[in-house]
Amino acid sequence: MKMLIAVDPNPYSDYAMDEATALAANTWAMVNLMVVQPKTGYLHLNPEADGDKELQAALVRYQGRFFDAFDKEDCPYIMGDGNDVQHAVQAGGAIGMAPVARKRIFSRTIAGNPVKAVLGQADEDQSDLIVLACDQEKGCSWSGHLTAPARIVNEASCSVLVVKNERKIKNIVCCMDQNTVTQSSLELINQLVTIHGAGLTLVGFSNGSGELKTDVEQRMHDILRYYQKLRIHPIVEIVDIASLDAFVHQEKQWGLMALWMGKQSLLGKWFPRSKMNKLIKESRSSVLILR
Amino acid sequence: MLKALLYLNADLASSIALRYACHLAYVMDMEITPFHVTSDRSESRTPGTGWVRRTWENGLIQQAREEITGLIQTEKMICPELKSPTIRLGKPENELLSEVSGRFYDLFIIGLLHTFSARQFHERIQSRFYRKSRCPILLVKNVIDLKRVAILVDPVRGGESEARTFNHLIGALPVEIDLLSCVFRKADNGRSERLIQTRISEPETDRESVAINVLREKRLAPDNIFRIEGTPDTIGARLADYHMVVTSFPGETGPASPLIECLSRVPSAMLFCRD
Repeated sequence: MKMLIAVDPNPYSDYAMDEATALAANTWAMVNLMVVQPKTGYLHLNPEADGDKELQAALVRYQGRFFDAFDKEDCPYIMGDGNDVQHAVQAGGAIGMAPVARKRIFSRTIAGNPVKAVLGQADEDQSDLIVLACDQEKGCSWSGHLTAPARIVNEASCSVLVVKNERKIKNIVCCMDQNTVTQSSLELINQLVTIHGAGLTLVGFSNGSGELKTDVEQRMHDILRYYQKLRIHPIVEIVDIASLDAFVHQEKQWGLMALWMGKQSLLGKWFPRSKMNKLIKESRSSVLILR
Repeated sequence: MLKALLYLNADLASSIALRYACHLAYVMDMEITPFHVTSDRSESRTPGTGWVRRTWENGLIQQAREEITGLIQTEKMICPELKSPTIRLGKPENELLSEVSGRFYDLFIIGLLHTFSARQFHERIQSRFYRKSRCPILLVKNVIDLKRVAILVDPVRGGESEARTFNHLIGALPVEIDLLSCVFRKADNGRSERLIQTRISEPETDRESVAINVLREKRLAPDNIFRIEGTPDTIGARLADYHMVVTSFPGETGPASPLIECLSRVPSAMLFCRD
């Protein structure tokens, strides 16, 4: 898995870093860390500018936070800056793994519009997952932009995890209404359940009749069996699509809401941009859009 | 050995019920009889009489047998050897009532997907089979490891049937037992919907005392006794903490029944007892 962690100097980005670090520790994903310098017209960082100093300090701090989560001797990651051996030695001397075999974590500072920068970097890296947090107290803003998380969620071609607060995730609610669910997305949910020791609820949406479409029911059956083989026992719940708003309103009981969004999905129709923006902005639970 | 009748359709709810029943069969001494009722799904008139009709009926039954056998085969890795499924042709409720009336079963097991809307649950509970069957009914919504059981004591007529059914079916299992007396109040927009829960050390009502005395017959005792007051929603959310809820069959089954409204919120298995 290729993971892009988008952070800014604000404290809420700690939550994104922690969540992404836990995922990396379990999956050994390829990790790219980025901050955005929201200054138009700048091609280079000005080390003397306070804003730029703050960005660089934040990057260093988040790199440290990432590596602090691992035992020095067993850390599977090194900084992708070429100083492989030096870092390996500084990590504790006893090299449990050859430096070339370790995963690299790259840090980047991109100048420009935050949304475009994140989406552009995700496309360039061919990221599977973008992780970011937002300021819940200020309408879920990121890097000073109120609509950035929602726009990234709506426009990204990969999965996006918006982390809300340092909230213990006790239950993960996964919503699907279509047949196309990828193996990697199932595995991502599996990892999140394992990391948080959370319960898992699989929600299927019915369209008015109260019954699932045959292919959706079959897919839910397959997904249920997949998780049961992993000794995870999901709760299955059926929600009529017309009750979606009321269902989502109850989300305060959850820790993470995951939506499988596809081109043909009912969820895509019932979650147009405006509703998605509202969900991202107002939800107290983290939101994971799976693609 | 307990005898359980397991109703199966070729759907997700039945797959869940089958898996749950197989799990129970491993931890309890229980024999499972799979059962399915098929009907003519076409809208055309039934063909002919005599051997033509019999051939057509046999074809329907054979098709249904293949579907149900296929469903059972998907769970064969976790299921004990099950009896060959009984397939009938007709109306499900009539055939089910006939089966549970004609033979002795300790338990009837059926699946029902947990829904956000209470409508499907209401329809199921109000069906003729549920009202007339004398057999305890285990309604399975999800496969959840059975560790905590709530016995709801009906304040008017309950206590004995719930505890006795629990003793007979579940009593031998190492589960935590909580005895709950529930007082339902209506949701009021102006009032807080906070749940009021009181843990009591000794039974305070006759119904609770009866339940405890019945449990003692099997040397069982509740781990906790709670008095709970709240709306159906809040009590339902509280009951979701349990892996099985044991309750007498609701006296009133209309849409306004607070017990049914509450139980519709619970994603765990429900064991409905008979007097």
